[in-house]
Amino acid sequence: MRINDHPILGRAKRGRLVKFALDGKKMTGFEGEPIAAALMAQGRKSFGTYGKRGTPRGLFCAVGKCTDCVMTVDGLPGVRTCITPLKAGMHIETQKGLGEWKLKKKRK
Amino acid sequence: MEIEEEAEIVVIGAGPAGLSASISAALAGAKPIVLDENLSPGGQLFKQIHKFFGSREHFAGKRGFEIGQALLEEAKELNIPVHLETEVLGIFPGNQIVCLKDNKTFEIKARRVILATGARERALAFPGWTIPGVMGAGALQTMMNIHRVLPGRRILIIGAGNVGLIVAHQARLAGAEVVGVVEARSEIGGYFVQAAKILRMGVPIFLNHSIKSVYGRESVEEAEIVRLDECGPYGVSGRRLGVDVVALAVGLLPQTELAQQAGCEFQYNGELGGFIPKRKPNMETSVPGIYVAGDLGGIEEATVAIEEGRLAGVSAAESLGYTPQDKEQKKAEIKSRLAELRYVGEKKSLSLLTRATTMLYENRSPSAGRSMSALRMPSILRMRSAATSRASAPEILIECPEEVPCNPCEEVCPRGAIEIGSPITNLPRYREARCTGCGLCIAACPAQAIFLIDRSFSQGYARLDLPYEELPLPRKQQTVGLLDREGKKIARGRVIKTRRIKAFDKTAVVSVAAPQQIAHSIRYIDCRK
Ligand SMILES: Cc1cc2nc3c(=O)[nH]c(=O)nc-3n(C[C@H](O)[C@H](O)[C@H](O)COP(=O)(O)OP(=O)(O)OC[C@H]3O[C@@H](n4cnc5c(N)ncnc54)[C@H](O)[C@@H]3O)c2cc1C
Ligand code: SF4
Ligand code: SF4
Ligand code: FES
Repeated sequence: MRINDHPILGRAKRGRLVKFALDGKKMTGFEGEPIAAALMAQGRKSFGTYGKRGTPRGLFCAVGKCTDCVMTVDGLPGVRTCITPLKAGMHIETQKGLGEWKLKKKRK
Repeated sequence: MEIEEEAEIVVIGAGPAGLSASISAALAGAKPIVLDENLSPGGQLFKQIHKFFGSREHFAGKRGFEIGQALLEEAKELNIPVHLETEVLGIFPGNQIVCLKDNKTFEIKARRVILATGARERALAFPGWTIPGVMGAGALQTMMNIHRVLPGRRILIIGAGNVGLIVAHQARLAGAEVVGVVEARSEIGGYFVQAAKILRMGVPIFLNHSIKSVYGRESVEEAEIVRLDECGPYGVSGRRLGVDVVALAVGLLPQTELAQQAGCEFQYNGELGGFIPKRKPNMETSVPGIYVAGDLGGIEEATVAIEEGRLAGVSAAESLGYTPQDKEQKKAEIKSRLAELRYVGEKKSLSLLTRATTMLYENRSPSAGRSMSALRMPSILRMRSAATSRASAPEILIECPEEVPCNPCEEVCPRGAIEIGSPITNLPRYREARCTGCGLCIAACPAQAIFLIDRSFSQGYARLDLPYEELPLPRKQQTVGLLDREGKKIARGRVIKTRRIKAFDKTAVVSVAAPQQIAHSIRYIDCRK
């Protein structure tokens, strides 16, 4: 849920509305907000699973210290979504354990 | 902004300690730079939307983020470079600082280093603590107040220290329901006034309780809390509460890695957060040229962080040969203000004892009906509010029974009707003959502990002026619920007017008409349908 009006902070200032994909599904969010914020605003709290037990994990510290919020972003696994700003056209994927590198090999 | 390869003073951390260190060093004539790994400067301050305690020198009565802005502006005026998204990885002999920015490492050679890396949150492990929705109270603050997203609608908070109590209030302002604050001890750890502020909103504080387990498949659905008694929590079945966020406010830990790695000597102090760097009175550590200020040197408050930063800044500049004007006087002033703040620190353990004896807590078993551990006002105050001395003129009620380092009520009163004096921890004294009932103190009190009652309003009704920060604001003539100190609805009343002038700094003062007989017990209004 988004907090648009706030008694102390006033109206929220947000970036431009952009499209991105979560596990192939189209979604929208505001450019520049952390990926985790865009997902949680739409009720999504689970970002992946732990390697050992396969149980779900989500945001815990929100300041880039704990790595519980990591996802695979544009093929790069282990991206801390709480401190990574959302950009238009991002491909975000739920990550199991340490995830896999899916970066396209650069051709010279 | 290009980052210098050499600098006179490198300040690590742009929280209140780091910013004020750089400001005082620059005022003394030195050229400091500031590094911070965050996207924005201000450290903890930018999550804090409440009015702060303290005195004028500490920006008291201002909200945390406004204090951050004021410090930043001062740094800007002095042309102090503040480099963000710059993480310091290590400090090597000769004050060689290794940094990371944009995935590249580089070094800065510093003549003096001021470490102001602050603190991080402690975690708490229990069955289910890894389920999404369990998070640090700081994480909840960051999401609500910076990114403006509410992670859940029904929130349970673990820990009734000041952080837990304040975050509970902030969650209400953000529009969430706070199901309760759970505290393992038999008394709250935070200030009485902070607890009173949420109790009157109807947020229960469960003393002698702890979290046993959290349940949910993809995310948190329920939390089980248990009463702690002689048998301990296990085996006892607790009470399940439907919640979607559990926020942990169980203390902060100084971020000491850099100080350790740089070779500073440490000492243990449980009250200040564990292992902390040893310091001389001028804030220098055992490693010459490395200074420490703020929460890193022991978990205290922003006010202390600001003073320590100032002292470290002046000392570092002085050691480089800068002779700030009236430096001795300045240092003495800082030290005396610190002593005044610390005086409170030392007395805290004492006030905890008095708190336990003067304020009665009521604990019912969690299974019995409405389980709320109510916090009661000391009996002196209760008598005072019941038997008001003057029936003809408006008078204020101040419910501030505990020594807090705070004086905005005194500062704001144009008539000198509230006196605190020195030390700043004195209880406020009210001289009703001077009071005009202007209401400025009601909005200025950071703890929302001041109320006004006018018994001459009409035959059967008294007028009450109450501070209010939630949305939506009550409209004139609206019928609202009238709540007592424990958040219980005891009557209904009509709104006379709502004032939210600039001088109130976003706190509204709502006037309601309440039946004469119960007017003295009303502390909050419920505008929800
Ligand atoms: C909920 C809550 C309510 C509070 N209310 C009050 C109040 O009413 N009154 C009051 O006086 N105090 C209050 N405080 C306390 C106050 O916020 C802290 O004491 C104060 O912020 C400490 O300041 P600091 O500068 O030491 O650390 P911080 O504010 O934590 O700043 C540290 C900075 O260092 C940076 N940093 C850390 N490591 C590195 C690194 N390796 N490289 C680069 N940068 C780094 C961090 O990014 C951060 O910006 C409250 C705190 C909380 C959590
Ligand atoms: S109501 Fe006005 S005059 Fe009376 S004590 Fe408060 S600030 Fe002073
Ligand atoms: S009554 Fe005065 S001293 Fe007490 S919390 Fe309010 S402003 Fe501070
Ligand atoms: S939530 Fe801890 S790193 Fe993102």
